[in-house]
Amino acid sequence: MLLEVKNLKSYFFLDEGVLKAVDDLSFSIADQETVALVGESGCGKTIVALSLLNLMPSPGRIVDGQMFFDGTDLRTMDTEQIRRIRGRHIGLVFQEPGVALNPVYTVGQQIADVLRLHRALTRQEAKVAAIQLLGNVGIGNPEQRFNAYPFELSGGMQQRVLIATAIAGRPKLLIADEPTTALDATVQAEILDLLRYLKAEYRMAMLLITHDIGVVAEMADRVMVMYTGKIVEVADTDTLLRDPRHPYTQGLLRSALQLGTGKGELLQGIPGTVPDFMELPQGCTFHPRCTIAGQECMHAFPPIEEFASGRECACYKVT
Amino acid sequence: MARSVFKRGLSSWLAIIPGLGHLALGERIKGAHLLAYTVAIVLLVIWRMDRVMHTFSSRAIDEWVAVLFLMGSLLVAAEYSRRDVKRLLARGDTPVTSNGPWQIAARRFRVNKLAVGSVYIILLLYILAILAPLVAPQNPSMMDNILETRYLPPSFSHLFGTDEFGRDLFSRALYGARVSLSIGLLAMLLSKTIGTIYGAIAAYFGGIVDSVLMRLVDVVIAFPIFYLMLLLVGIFEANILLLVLILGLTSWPGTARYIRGEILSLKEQEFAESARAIGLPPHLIIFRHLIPSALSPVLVSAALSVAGMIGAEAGLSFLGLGIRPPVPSWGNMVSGGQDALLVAWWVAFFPGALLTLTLVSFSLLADGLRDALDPKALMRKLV
Repeated sequence: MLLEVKNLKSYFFLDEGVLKAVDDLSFSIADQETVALVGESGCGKTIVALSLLNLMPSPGRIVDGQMFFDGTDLRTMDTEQIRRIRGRHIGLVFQEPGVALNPVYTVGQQIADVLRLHRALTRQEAKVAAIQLLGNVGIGNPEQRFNAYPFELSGGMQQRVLIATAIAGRPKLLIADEPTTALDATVQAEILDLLRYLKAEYRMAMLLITHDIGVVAEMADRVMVMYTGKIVEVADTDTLLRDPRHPYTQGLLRSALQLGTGKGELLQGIPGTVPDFMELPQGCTFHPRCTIAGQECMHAFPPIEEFASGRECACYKVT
Repeated sequence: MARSVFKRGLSSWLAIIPGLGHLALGERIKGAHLLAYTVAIVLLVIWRMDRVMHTFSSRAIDEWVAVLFLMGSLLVAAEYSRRDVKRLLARGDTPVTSNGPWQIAARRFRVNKLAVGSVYIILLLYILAILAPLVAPQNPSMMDNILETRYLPPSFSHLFGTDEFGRDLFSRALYGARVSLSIGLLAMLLSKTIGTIYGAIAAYFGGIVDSVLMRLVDVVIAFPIFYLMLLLVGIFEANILLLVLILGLTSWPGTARYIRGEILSLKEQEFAESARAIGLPPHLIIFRHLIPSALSPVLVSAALSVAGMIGAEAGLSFLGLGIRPPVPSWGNMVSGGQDALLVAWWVAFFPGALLTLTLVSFSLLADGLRDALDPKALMRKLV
């Protein structure tokens, strides 16, 4: 296993109380595997990514858990060691390329910076490598684009540049946090193609964070569904799409537009809204919105259990 | 085509003399500046050949500085000119305009003629100050025939007249410029450097580091600086270094507070977070990503600060607490002339006028910088 996360707990300590953004999360990613982390906005997906790189914004911090990357626990590393992991072993692609690039440097400089940092290249070598990398992420005229400032590029090109900075250190794991959310549909498809190509080319594993079932279907080997800071279902992409078990996953899939949805047919949403993290329901946090909830769901959150090979689900009603 | 080949050969040959290569390539403004500077320096060398030669057998540091500056600047101009012509030739006929933040600011700055004019005045004053030993008509402390030469009004032989000891005021004003201008510049650099780094470190690391560092700032701000200055110049003989240290080390807290505020907000922005995610070490994040984005208002206040420092030095010297005669500074020259104001107005007038000119120039420069660096300013008449 390339990455093995056990019982990760990342909490925010607010004046009003403790917000459990990621609560007792365990998962693993194999070498060169693409795993999708799916859930509604605000369910704690991004906090998982930030926790992995120890970039939790204050007043949040990791409270407990282990994160083994290549056999070593990231949580036992000091700030200097974890800094060497960032960008070099784990790359991170942000959601909004427009603000994740520094506006006062050319895109070439920003890529060259990473190259010089992680691969100990000279200024000249870094420039050559950066131009090559720009070409690799599908930017035409890389020699000229090297000197372009971020605002001179379109959103799709900015995202390509951001991806180039994330893979410049040749990481083994690429975390893509909603990489296509800020882009329009055609550009989305191009960026997904690019990510797939780079993943194969650089032999990377990928943690893809998204709320878009379409993206999941296209990219992921395995899917983890997240609700209020916990993983509620894990399965192969095909299995999960064909046969979702957890009532939340079923609701999620029903609410997505599918080929064959007839004209005039309404999409079914999940009743209710995502609960406030500060006032989570007792027991299974999904039970107030669940159609099949029973008495047992009111008292304790169901443990996540493997009910078939490679399939895990956290629900009392699924066996 | 034939003409172009001819032009290429010609301009690379002409580039040996700074400016000519640019002129041949049609870069008129750059060429004219390089050429004018070169010609002026060469003429100065020819005019003051005896002094230049004398320098080589002299031990006076200021003369060496002047001669080295002279030669160094010529070499720099020649080398820059050679490289730039090479670059222009390699580039071909398509002009490339860069859209970097500094290039945009430079374009906006050039629109403001007053600010551009003040840059010329400031540069001229600084160059004259460095070259004072070569340019000054007389030794600034020379007094002979006091009875015949004291209080001579301005004339061709004494452009600014003479003072009560018969010293040439033009020469004294040039030497005084060195004191005033260098104190202003160095004290500003010291103060802004300390303030910027200090504020950035406090903001970036935050928490307890921030609290401790900023309480120290409160202490420095609360300290009665003026009395400290009086005390220090009372104990030690005031010299340029001491004044730079006093002025620089007491004026940085404002900058530190400002930079801290800016960086507190900048470091939460996503480009700072992505710099962390890439694995950049803290010093690179601070110096390459955070400080440059917070710097433009500091540049504006730096220009004003030079004026403030020069004014402070002049004030101290006027009160007799700064640089003491016979070493001239604009402040003590004004002070020396105040008794004779009714008999010989020129003694106080010229240093006072130079002081005013300098302060106004820096203020106009600051104005121009503010307009050019403010991204929200109206894009009027640009590019």
